[in-house]
Amino acid sequence: MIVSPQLRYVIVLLPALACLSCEKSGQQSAADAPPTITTKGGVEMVLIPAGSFEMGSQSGKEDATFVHKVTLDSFLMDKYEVTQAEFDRLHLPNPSHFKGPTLPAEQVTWVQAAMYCNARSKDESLHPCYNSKAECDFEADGYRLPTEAEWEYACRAGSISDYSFGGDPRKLGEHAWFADNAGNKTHPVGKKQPNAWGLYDMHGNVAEWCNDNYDKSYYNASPETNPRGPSQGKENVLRGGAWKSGADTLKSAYRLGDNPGFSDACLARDAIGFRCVRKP
Amino acid sequence: MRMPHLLRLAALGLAGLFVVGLAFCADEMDPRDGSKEGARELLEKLKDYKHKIVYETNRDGNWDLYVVNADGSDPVNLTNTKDVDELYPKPSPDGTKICFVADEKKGKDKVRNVCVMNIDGTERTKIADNAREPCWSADSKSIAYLKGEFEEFNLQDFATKGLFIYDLKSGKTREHPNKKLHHLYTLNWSPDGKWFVATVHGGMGFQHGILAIEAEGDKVVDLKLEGCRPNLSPDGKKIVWGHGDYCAGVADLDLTGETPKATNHHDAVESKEPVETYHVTWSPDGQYLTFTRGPKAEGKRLGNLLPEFPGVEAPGWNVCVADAAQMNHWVAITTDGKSCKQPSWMFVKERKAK
Repeated sequence: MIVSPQLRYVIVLLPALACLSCEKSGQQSAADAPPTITTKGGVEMVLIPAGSFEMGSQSGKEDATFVHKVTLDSFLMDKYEVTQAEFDRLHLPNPSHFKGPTLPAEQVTWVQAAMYCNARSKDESLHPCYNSKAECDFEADGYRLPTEAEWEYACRAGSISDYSFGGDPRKLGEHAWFADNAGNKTHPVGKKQPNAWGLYDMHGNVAEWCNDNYDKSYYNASPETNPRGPSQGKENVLRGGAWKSGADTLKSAYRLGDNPGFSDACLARDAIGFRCVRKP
Repeated sequence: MRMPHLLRLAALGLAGLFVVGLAFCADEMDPRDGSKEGARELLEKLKDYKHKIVYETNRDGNWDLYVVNADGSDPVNLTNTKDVDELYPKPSPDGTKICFVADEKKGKDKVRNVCVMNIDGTERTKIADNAREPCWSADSKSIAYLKGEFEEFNLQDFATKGLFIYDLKSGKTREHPNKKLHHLYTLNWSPDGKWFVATVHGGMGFQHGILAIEAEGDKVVDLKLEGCRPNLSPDGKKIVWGHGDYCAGVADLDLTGETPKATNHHDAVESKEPVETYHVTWSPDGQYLTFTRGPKAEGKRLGNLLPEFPGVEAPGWNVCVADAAQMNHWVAITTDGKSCKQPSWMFVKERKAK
């Protein structure tokens, strides 16, 4: 049976709408989650449906209080944070402090994350998204870092609460590795409960690089459709909080900016990793 | 026409202010100026200092090794190879040879090898394929180096796995007994031959730091120095390192006990963002330090990584010399800013008469 692209979006959107209807309880059945694919390189990715959401949080940090509507195209997102096994598979030096194939890669600068994206694209004969100046070609079919809007949309998975599972931070331990339960280290990816769209560790474990430059005022000027961040900036966006973070910084809307190469090359951060997205 | 006295005084005052202003501007712009009052005085002293400095530099897209006198005079290109990039020179303690790395071939075939040559650039020999970060034993008879982590070329400084020792006389290579050595860079060999000192990044359970590694055993000790790229004084009793992006740290080093220790940390040289300070090494008599100074990389550059990495272009970076006994008393001895990096002192027995 041939399915038109429009119908395909509707099919993809239906479960997402279903997610929206039940987010307040934080309960979601696996049947509602969008489909997962396995890439040529063997990495599982979730097909995030196209749709709209309210980005930001009025109760959050100042840089996120301008709540605004954002509409996004569909995209594929890594089900898990990029693991160290992935760095080994692509013959990239694994910079991580805490070692283990299923642990998330950390001590990764934004540039190293972009280099990984390009290496993974080449490995699958896709067109790399980043050029030598680290500028992103959003039309390329290769891997890239998510935009900040894509990240928050995927993290929320239809929810409007502080966290993807609801607003109660006491339940955070079921969904995330953070300062209260991580024991001062990262943990294998995918061991906590996923969000409604089947994405693991969006809260905690390692903070995740986004493609966007960071600007605390960006939300005031952000376009509604597929916002891609400020054209310039000294910092890049980090999202999701990490194993050493407090509950507040793990919130879906919590924004952070950091130097893409670390502010001091000698002071690498073992709480920073990433995950990738690409066109469906 | 006679100028009224008061007007003449005012004119003289204004002229004086203009001259002082010019001098100040010139001083601010002069790349040789470190501590301002002392820089030229230090340069004069260095004119009589017999030991030389060898460094990597990128001219017209090609890297070569240059040697200069301590004051930066008489630069000589030791390598002169258009198709090969020579980097990371380390003269032997006896001043007869230089080991270095050579990046050969292009694209997917590119490889970094360890080579050795005489100090005048003759009798060049490759001693190890896919290897980097070499250093000498105190007797100048052996070269230790780190193997590349992957077969494919990688510019990342910590992409190393395994430590190997090459004996110049026999031409034989042996591996260090500790087979778990991983992600080290800037390798040093202590004068008593008992320890290696190197930076680690995400290896052997360490996040990032400077390690003392037993030369003939498995012991690995974190020296608890914040930073990277260490260098040991000729007597092995002091260590200098890149204390962050902007300082050269100095500490007392005790390698005689069971557990090596670094104490009495202070900074010998410091710069301010966006000017970085790196690649600090001791002179053969411990009197001076050489180091590099240059602007932090602006923006993001994929594949090219950081300017302090060997073989990464660093526009505006120059080689400097500092008085090891004073704080921030230094002078730049190269001024062209052509990625002049990784300087290392070359021992000279007797200076030739001019």
